[in-house]
Amino acid sequence: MSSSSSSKMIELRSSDGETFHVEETVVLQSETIKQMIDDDCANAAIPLPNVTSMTLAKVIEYIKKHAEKPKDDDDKKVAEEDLKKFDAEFVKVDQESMLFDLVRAANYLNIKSLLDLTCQAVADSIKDLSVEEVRKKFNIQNDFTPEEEAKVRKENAWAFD
Amino acid sequence: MREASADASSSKKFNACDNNASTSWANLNQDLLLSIMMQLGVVDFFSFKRVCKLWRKLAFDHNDKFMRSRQPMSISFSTGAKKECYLDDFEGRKFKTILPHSIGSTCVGITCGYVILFGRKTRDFWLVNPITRHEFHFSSFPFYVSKDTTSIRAILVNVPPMSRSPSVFVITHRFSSVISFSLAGNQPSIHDLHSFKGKIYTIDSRCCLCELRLNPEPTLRLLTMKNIPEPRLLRPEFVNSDQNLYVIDCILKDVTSLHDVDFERNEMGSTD
Repeated sequence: MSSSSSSKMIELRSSDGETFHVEETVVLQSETIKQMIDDDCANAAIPLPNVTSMTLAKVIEYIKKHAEKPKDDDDKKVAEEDLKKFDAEFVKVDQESMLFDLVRAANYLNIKSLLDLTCQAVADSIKDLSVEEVRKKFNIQNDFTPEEEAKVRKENAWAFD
Repeated sequence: MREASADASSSKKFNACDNNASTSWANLNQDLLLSIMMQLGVVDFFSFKRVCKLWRKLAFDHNDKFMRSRQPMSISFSTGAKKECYLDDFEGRKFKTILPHSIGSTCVGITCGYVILFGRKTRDFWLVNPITRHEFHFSSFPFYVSKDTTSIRAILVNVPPMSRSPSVFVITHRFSSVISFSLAGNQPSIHDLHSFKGKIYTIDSRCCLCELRLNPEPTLRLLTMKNIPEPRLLRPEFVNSDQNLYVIDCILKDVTSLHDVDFERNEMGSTD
């Protein structure tokens, strides 16, 4: 992609021990890693104990795409459209748990645009679901007492028309 | 610890995800849950509040922030007997509900975010907030409230947040010079409100005088008065001069009684 010979490579290690080599310019989108590099903690492989290799691969795919620089203004418009499409496809993951892992990884690595994107995707996935369906999806126990439940239910009864 | 998992085979990736999948959502930390919550639509936000105690608390703690960040919505009523209330979010989504007290009522307007429902038979008013479901009941009016709902104009003067203390509801009829006041709950009706020397006074059907204080929240403080006129007043109203406040009552056409209010001696005097 936009590799240049002068760019320094950073080594990242996932929680399950896999290593990834990413250009420094790309990886700087992560505030967490940027801080580590600034603090001179990035001479050896950077361990990311909270991120699995599968998630890290996705994150790297995302930041690589977002690091591409358009050449001129015409190109910029095309690139923006392209990026939108990429983002929309990016959050269409097969497993729900992957989306969750991405939210956590984006939070841990402090990549704001990825966090916004994935949080929006989770919010969209709740859209129009009933309360019962949301509980099932998120595996949440209903901890209201029957009295509270009745009160809470009465409080709002908007139904999708 | 970090290095320990290095010996795992390539199949471990899938295990790592699947094991967490069932519990991961529930364990989402509060900051992340909040980020997700802030991206919800309004009606999804209502559902969010009902999921569990933790989510409910989070939603309540950030309710104002959330509601302020949303687009305005429109509310409408069906004209049929079922009185369905619709909410349109301008994003192509429409929701419906049935508001309490709407059966047998006519919606005569909206004030301070409350839908004004007029009971056609009971001649009382319910003010219902369609979002929070907070409600006020106004049942006492000093004057006859016309059934002709198109002529009713009503406003809620004061809405203390989450408070049950008196809120003043004002009704007027088109083409009529009479203004009615009512207090929320089972309060006697207010016949008149008057501002005098920087204070607001009310008088009710028993001719009791109260001072209405709006801060920190609206309260009626009963003024203990001696020589209160017989509660035979039909339509007591306040009038005042520079120095004095008077209660005037039209007993008959051209026959009025006038009582001055002496705040120093806490008594009312007749000045026929």
